[in-house]
Amino acid sequence: MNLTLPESLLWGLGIGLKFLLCALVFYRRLFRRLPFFSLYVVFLVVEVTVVWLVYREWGYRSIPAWYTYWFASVVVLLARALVVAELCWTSLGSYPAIWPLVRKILISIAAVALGYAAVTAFRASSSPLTTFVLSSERALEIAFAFILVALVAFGARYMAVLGPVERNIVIGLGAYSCFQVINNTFMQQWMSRYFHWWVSMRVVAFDIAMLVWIVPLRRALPPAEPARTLISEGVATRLMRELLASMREITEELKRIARSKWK
Amino acid sequence: MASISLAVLLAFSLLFLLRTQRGIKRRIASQRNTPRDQLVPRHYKSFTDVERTLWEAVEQQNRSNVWEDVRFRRKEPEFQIVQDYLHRVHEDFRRGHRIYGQVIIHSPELNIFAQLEWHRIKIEFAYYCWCALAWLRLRTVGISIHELRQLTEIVATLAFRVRSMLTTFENSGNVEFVDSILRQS
Repeated sequence: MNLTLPESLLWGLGIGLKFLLCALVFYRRLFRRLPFFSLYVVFLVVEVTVVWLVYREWGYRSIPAWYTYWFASVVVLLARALVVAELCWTSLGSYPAIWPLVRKILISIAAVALGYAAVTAFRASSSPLTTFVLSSERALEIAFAFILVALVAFGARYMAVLGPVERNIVIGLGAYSCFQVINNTFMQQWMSRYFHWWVSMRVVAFDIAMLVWIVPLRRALPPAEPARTLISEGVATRLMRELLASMREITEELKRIARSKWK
Repeated sequence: MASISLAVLLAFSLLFLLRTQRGIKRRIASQRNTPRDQLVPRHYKSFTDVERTLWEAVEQQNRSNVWEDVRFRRKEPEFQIVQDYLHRVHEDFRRGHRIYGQVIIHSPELNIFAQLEWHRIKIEFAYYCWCALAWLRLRTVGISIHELRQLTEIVATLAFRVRSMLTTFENSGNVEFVDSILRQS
């Protein structure tokens, strides 16, 4: 192993937190409510175990370690994208007018981010894999932050409030994404010589995010909120159309009165 | 540098919005046993009483002959009445705004949702413009009864729309749906 003592400690803490989070997710049966988040947590454990084994076997700066690290990063990044999509589904999936639009927007964002990463990797003179991962990460991190802010803003405007577990996942993911945008910018512009620092900083940021996710899982999950009272689609369409027509009528009437006042 | 500023802005927005969501949750929990008539906008109806009180106060002081020209400033005794009324009207607006949002989010089609939301945005825009003007006037030359009336009219329009929505749903037999909307907003 070529890791320094602080790096080893940091890795050790990260590994411990990942295992603890994974154990809590299964102990609290969170996979029933958030299957993609649970899958993501499993991937984190698998990733850290595989990377650790490879580092142990071939060393931190070996070629197998390099490939393993970047491939694992791609898998985890894609799993994180699924977690963001799952949070959107949990919060907005029950709204028939909104969800199809949100789904299209999410798919477009993912396509644009991955397309941008692929083009950048294709044009890059350095390793295409590293460039692809870094570019897709850069594009996706900013997209994650935007999507999560939009999701919470939407919830605040339409009272679609997140539950405590989802809320902490949003805080962890959002804070980590914002931090990564800053970290990547520094890395790209001023700190390319300090790659180890960059990795250590992202490990610290991710440890903090995991602590935020662990907090609500210390206690039993709160019961799922009762389903909202809904009305049938046909009735809703008819009534909403009626309301819209009456609103238009009133607006026209008010305009007519306003015009007659000025004459 | 732009991406750093953007990331910081997004992080703060996220925290602020999550705090707002926590406030919503607390409010929903606190109004579980609130009578239903208190869950809809109602303070704006007291405008005529407020106007009468102000008119009597002004007449006692014999300040002006033209009622519409009278301005209520910070130093004057009736300022508190104006400020209290503005607070209540603001509460009405927020309540109506929330109920409206809760109803339209259940739209089955995006087209209907967009059109209903557009009506809300127009009211919101008018309300915040008049609110900004009222805020400025309160701190400078004083607010007039005309401005108070304008604000009341906007809130009354929103309240009317909300009432129409709720009545339409109730009349079609969806009393439970209306109750859930009111409790959740």
